[in-house]
Amino acid sequence: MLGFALGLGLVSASPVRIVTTIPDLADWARNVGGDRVVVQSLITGSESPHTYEPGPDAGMAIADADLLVKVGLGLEEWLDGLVANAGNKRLAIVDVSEGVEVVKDVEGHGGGEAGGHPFGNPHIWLDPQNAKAAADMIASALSRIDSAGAVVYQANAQIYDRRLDCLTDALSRLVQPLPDRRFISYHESWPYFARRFGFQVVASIEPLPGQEPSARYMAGLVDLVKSSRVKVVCTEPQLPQDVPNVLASETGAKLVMLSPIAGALPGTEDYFSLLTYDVQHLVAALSDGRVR
Amino acid sequence: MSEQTRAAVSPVIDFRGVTVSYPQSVAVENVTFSLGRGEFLGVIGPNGSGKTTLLRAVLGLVRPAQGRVRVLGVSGRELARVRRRIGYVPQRRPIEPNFPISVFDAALMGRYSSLGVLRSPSSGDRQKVAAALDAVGLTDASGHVAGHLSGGQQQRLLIARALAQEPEILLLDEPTSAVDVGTRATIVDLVRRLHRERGLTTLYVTHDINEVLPYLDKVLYINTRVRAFGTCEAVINRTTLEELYGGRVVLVEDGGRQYVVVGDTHA
Amino acid sequence: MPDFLHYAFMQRALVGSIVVGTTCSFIGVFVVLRGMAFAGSGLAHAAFGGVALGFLLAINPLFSAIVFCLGTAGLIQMAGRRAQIRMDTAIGIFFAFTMALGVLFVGLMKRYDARVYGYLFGNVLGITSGNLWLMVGLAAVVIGTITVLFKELKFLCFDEETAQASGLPTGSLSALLLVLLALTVVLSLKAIGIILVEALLVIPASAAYQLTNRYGLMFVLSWAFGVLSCASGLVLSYYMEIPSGAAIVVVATVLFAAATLLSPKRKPCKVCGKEGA
Repeated sequence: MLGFALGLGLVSASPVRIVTTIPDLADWARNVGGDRVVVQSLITGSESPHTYEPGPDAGMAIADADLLVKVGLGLEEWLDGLVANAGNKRLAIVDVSEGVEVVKDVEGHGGGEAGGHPFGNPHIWLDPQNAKAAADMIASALSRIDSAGAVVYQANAQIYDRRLDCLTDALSRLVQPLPDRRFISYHESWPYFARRFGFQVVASIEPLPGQEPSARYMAGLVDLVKSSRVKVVCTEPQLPQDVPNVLASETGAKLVMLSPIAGALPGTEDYFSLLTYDVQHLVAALSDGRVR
Repeated sequence: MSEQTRAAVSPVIDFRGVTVSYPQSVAVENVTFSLGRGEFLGVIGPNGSGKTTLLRAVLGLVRPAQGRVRVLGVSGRELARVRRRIGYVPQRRPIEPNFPISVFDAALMGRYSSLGVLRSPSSGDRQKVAAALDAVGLTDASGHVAGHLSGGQQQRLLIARALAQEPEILLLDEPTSAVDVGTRATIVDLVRRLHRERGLTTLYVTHDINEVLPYLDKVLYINTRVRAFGTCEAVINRTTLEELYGGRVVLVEDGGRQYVVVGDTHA
Repeated sequence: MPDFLHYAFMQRALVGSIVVGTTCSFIGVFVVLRGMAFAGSGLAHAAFGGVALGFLLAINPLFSAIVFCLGTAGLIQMAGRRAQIRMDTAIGIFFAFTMALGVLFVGLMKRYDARVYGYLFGNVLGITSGNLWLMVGLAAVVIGTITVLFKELKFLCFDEETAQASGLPTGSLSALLLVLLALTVVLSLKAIGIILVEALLVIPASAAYQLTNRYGLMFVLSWAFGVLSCASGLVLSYYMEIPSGAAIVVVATVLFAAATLLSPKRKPCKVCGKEGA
């Protein structure tokens, strides 16, 4: 009877409301929070976090939330104004890039110049080790908000960390046999991903993050791809496809679509399936691709 | 009735009770007149009397709200078909001085309506244009830029273009109004000569009857309505004219020519 | 062969800009002689509305631009005749309306697509093989029609009233010119962009007008200026890494200035002594 009452009491306590900026963070939060939380992501997958424009529903979601999980490092420029406007005094914020070893873009940017990635490359979530650190941060934040669930959160976080380690091993093993692991990226989304799994980003199509290449820059890229015999160009579903198509058709390199955010492509609804999809497709392209 | 008589009798231009109105006003009302083949009609009236509208009705460019216009045996929508047989000399507006076209090319446009869409003017067409320019005395100016011609020359160019069309009917809208006084007689003389030499049915619009009086077969006085219509004998006499002008009118003879002189007119 | 022509995308861009230069310079003669520059400007802004609609509906923006421009051309023609307003008033109304629609469509798009704004200034990299075929096809229609109706259009430009009186269907011909102008604007979008296409419609023909009094020669000179501007503008945009549309218009304007300074029309006519306008 008491257990039943306790059970009722536990379940009927209202869930913690979490809002995240991108779906990958939402997936982490769900794994840590279980059914004690209700999670919503502002971006659903088809928008790029750099150019996303929040509507009124975004403001409302933040106004009602207990916890906001964001990437930081200047990725979500639109967020500060939104949070200030929402006026939610009790909102706790987790910045998952805290403590991460930040790298610069492949092209060398990230040193404070205007445009793109002024604080370093922000696409940190694509390294599962950073996901582990983030899960721990989220567990701590949730414990502070909902102390009754602290034990559950810590336990979930540890389970998730172990699963992330297994995933990292499994995916890395797929990449190891490849003799040539080089590719051209479109946007600078992949430095952390590449470093973790053993790929190498030779160059990015965007000369500056967010900037389309000029004809002359493109000519330079074509020369680079041909002379270095790079086999694969990767493109992303959140960006216009014209430019990578030109590069691929001009050089005969294989074009592969990878998504840096969960929820954009079918089969990538959560973090695990996203990483699996990206690694598998990139490995497949690097195995078959031939340069003219 | 013989073939010739029938042809002579059936009118080339025939207006019956024609009224043409624009949204703001009535241009011409209840106009009835007819013109036979080869006849020379003077259309006399002040500004705004509907003279230009009359010409546009002959061409079928405006449709009568009432009545019927019959030209070369057709009426209504069919009028568009016979436009190429009517040579139209509009009231002269100055040609833009640097418009890239030569006098010859401007006159050549008169041949376009008899060519189809894909055909270019032939040497035969060019000969006809040269002849038309010769008839109006512009042969020397053939290579000039059309916009560089003087007012009188531009008027003659318009006539040449109408002639190049080889029309059966010639419509002229105040051909001397935009021309200096000294050149006017040249223009009128030219028209008279062309009418006589080619047997063109001619409709000459002017506000000054004395310009063309000796050459007219018929005269039409119009001021929105027909004020008088008939042969010269019928209309050009003191009684009819005094009624028309509402004042003293004197017919003066000088050098074998008749002139209408209007005295005081009462409002 | 200059090094930039080693790339297929630059070869396409060069062919594309020559096609655009040719078509704009031919139709540009009518734009200049009939004073249709404002109509060209209005149609360019209608093209923006059409392109934005294409992105919103996820269809080829060039197709939606064609439909939008033709629709606008038709409405301008009708409004000018029926609503008793002057042509330039009608154009001004539709110019603003279609531009506003374009902004509205962009606002309605769930996903921000930067390519819409690429259509504003021209983006040479964006000319695909498919685009090129479409451009060539449209150009063939425009130039073919001008050739077939060459003398009729000449009469229309010189003296519309007498042309109508002699039997030419001038209303239809005017409408046809607007349609050809709309097609020309659309085929030029990727090479030059919406904002600057109006310049290419006017400048080469105006330069030609400065240099000749002969109708046929005006087309030849206009074509020469148009193609020269487009080709050298493209090369310039490559080496200086600036948008193609801007480079092309700068070259065209320099050529126009040179033509005006050298113009024989500024001196008295050798034959009759009249000063040029």
